[in-house]
Order: sequence, then structure tokens, then C-alpha cells
Amino acid sequence: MAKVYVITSGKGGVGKTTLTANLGTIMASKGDRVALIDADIGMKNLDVVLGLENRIVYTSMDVVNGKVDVFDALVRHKQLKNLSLLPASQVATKEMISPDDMKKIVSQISEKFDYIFIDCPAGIERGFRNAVAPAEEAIVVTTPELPAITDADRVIGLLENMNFEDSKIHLIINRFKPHMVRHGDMLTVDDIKSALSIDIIGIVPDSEDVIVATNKGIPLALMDGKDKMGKILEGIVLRLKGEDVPIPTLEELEEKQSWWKNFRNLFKRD
Amino acid sequence: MGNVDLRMTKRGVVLYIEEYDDLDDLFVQITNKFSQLNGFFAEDDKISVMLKDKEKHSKDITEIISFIEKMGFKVGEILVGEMSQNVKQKTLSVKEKLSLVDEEDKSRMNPTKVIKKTVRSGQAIVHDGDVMLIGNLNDGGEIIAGGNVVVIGEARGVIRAGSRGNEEAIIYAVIMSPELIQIANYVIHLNEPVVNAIGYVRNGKVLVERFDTVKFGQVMNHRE
Ligand SMILES: Nc1ncnc2c1ncn2[C@@H]1O[C@H](COP(=O)(O)OP(=O)(O)OP(=O)(O)O)[C@@H](O)[C@H]1O
Ligand SMILES: [Mg+2]
Repeated sequence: MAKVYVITSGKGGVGKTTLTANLGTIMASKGDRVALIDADIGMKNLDVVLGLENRIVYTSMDVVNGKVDVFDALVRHKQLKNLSLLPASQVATKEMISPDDMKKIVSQISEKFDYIFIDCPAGIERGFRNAVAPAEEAIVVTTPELPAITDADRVIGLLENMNFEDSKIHLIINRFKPHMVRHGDMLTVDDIKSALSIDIIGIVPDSEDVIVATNKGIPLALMDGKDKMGKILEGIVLRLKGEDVPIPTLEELEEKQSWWKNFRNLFKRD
Repeated sequence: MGNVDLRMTKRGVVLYIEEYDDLDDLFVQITNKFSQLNGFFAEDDKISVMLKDKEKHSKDITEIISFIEKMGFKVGEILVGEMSQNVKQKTLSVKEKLSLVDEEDKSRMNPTKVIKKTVRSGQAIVHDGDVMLIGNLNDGGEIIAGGNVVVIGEARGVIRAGSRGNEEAIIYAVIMSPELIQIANYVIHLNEPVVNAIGYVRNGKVLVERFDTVKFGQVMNHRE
């Protein structure tokens, strides 16, 4: 039976899809069988971040309509054979699938995978409830800005109402900028922790590498020379698996960044 | 018939919500109910919302209210419990103004409700008696109490005490910086957080003061 996570946020554009792709890729590269489900029907883009958009034949909509078996709709990753994507239709709408449909889909594939990550759409309407219905744990993504944090609080509240215990809700702070915190221009990790009173499972710095990787359709975890982000994301994966890996401190996050910059500058001069 | 009913009582129109599983379904039912009565309400009519199962559904209250307000109605009061028996089970068909009261027993106050958690945006604690929250009340969260409210934590959301019109209700918070404080029908917005603060009504105004500057004799007057 797979462990099923939903990756959600309330606010749009905070990095759900990016993190789904990258956490899933790292899990798979460690040998786990991983399925990623794009629940953002009508606004899909998990396939693009994974570089799989040209391999889609069927979507979850076809499965729900009884046109194909769910295993016929799953798309395998090119390099990582144990990473699969259940694509979302771009022409359907979120109302055409129900929470029960999603539960059914997940229960059908659950035995064949170790981990399932569901990429939730922004908002708290039907799409949100579809994505959350089959999940047993939730990863809530926020950026260090007040509107994103307020929305994260709202979503955590809804998850609690849906009987998720706080221990099953994990927070990732994405697009963190250590130098801004140092200058007092950004909320600190402690500020966010006390605002949300929920366990933080990872802090992901803001990084141009993410944009480069996204545009190439290659998850960071599979790109050469991206060890810094790779390590940070790997830490999150290990923590999800229950390992006691400390979260890098502000200093460490910053240190690594300047180390990486110096390294690059060195190359430029050559 | 669904689980939603609109009834006319002495206190005005009451939207009675008996039971539901899905909030969206409920909204559809409410929409249908109101559309059957198109044009029946006057401009300023306030609607009371009555929830049968407050424990189960209190979390949805703010969502239900904002839904009704989006439909263009004002929500006056939120009631909990059964619709009293002497209200005829008639749906409010056209222009049938019953003048029955669901006279709640004002003397019967429920015991204190103690909650240990963070009350988050979109969550609401609704209780007929006193409420004690051990934890923070976040922005967008709400406490609606018939009696007093004590927050052992930081109160940033909305607090409504004495919601049935009890002006003697008081509010205490370790850090008081709510979006809105309401006691009975009086409201106040704070410009700055107050630590160890008591909110109470005096001369038709809500005052918020540090606990050690409040004269308790006055505040605690004529309590039952
Ligand atoms: N750590 C990061 N550093 C820099 N850019 C990032 C980071 N994380 C995400 N981004 C960028 O932010 C944008 C939004 O990311 P993404 O699509 O993953 O967000 P989302 O939460 O899935 O959005 P939506 O709500 O629309 O589904 C993308 O352009 C992505 O490349
Ligand atoms: Mg997305």
C-alpha cells in the first residue's frame, strides 16, 4: 500500500507543482516506486515540469469516464522507470471529477507504488477537495509572505476539519531568501512557525536553478551540478520517511549559496 | 424536502439548517430555498441562521454566513440548537408571516467550553455559554460565544462575546489584537495590540484595557 501525500497551499504559484515533481523524482531515484497525480484539471502543468507532456495519451478524465484502465493512463518517466505520472486533462474541469473518483483511482494503483504525491490546484474549492480526499498526509507549501501564510493557515484549518491530525500536516517554506531575512526584510522561520504552529519539514531557498530546470523539463534532482538544491530537497524526502535529518540553518542556507556562487565565478574567470 | 428550511419567527427570518454532509450540497439547497422566495424579503431584512448540530458544523459557520451574505442578505444572529417545537413545520411559502417565537431559554447557559488548539483562518468556535481558548486565535478565525471569552494566547481573529445581547460579557486575551471585538451589539477595532487585556462594555462602548487598570467591581457588576 502506498503512502499518499497531497501537496497543497491555498495560494497559487507558491511552488506546489515544482515540489511535487522534485520530491517525487528524488524518492524514485532512491528506488521507491512513485506515482505523481496531477489534480489540477484544466490547468495542468506537472507534465511539463517533468518533461512528459509529449507522452500523454490518456488522462484521469478518461479513467473516470470508464474509457481506459488507470494503468493505461499512467505515463512512465523516460529515465526513472519507477516514476509515473497520472496526467490531468486540460479540456475538462475540476467539477467533472469527484472526491470519490479520486479515492477510487488512488486505491486502484496504491498497491503498485510505495509513494503517491497528489499535486493540488490552488484554492479551496472542488479541486482542493478532490486532491485531498485520497490523501493520508498533507504537505502544505507557503512562501514567506503574509498572504501565502494566511492561506496556508486556512488550508491547515480545512485539513483539520477533514480529520487530519496536526502530526500528518507538514509545512514547507519555499522561495526563502536568507539575505532578506538577515536584513530584516523578510519573515523569519520562527515568525512563520509561530504564526502557523505546525511542524516545518523543509525550507527551500529561492533559486534560479529551479527556473532553469523547469524550463528544460528536467526536475532539479536529475540535473547535473545542482547538488545544493538536491541536498535540500533530499533532506525533505528523508524527513518525510521519518529520518532525523536537521533542517539547514539560516547560516547554512546562505553559506552554501555563496559557496556555489564563488564556485561559478571561478569557472567564469577561467 | 431537504435539510434546509426558511421559517418566519418573531425575531425575523430564520434559516434552519438541520443536517448535511457536503458544504457544496448545502449551498445548492440554500440557493434553491431562497430562489423559491424570490422578492419576498425586504431590503434590510436580517436573517438568523440556526444550526441544529453545532458541534459538528460550527467549523462551517463562517463559510455559510459569507455564502448567504454573498447572496445579498444580512446575517443577524447565529443560533444553535433545535427549532422550538411550537414553530409549525411549515415552510415559508409566499407571504405567510407566522408570528411565532422560538423563545430560547435565556437563563439556561451552557457550561464553559474549553478548547486547546490553534483556531485557524476559516475555523469558528460557536458556543452558547463561556468559551476558553487555550491557544492562538489566528487571523480569519472566529469565536462566537453567548457568554464570556477567555483566550490564553494571542487573539488576532474575530471575537464576539455576549452574542445574545448580554452586555455584561467580557473578553480576556493574553495578547489582544483582534480584527474585531464585539460584545452584545457593540463593536470595536483595535489599532494596537494590548497585552493582558480585558474588553468590556461601558456606557455603550467597548473598552479594552490592561487587566491591571480595570476596576473589577465595575466590570463584574450584576453578573448572574
Ligand atoms: N524555490 C524556488 N525558487 C525559484 N523559483 C521557484 C521556486 N519554487 C517555485 N518557483 C517558480 O515559481 C513558479 C510557480 O511554481 P509552481 O508552478 O510550482 O507553483 P504552484 O503552486 O504549483 O502554482 P499553481 O497554484 O498555479 O499550481 C514557477 O515559475 C516556478 O519555477
Ligand atoms: Mg501547480
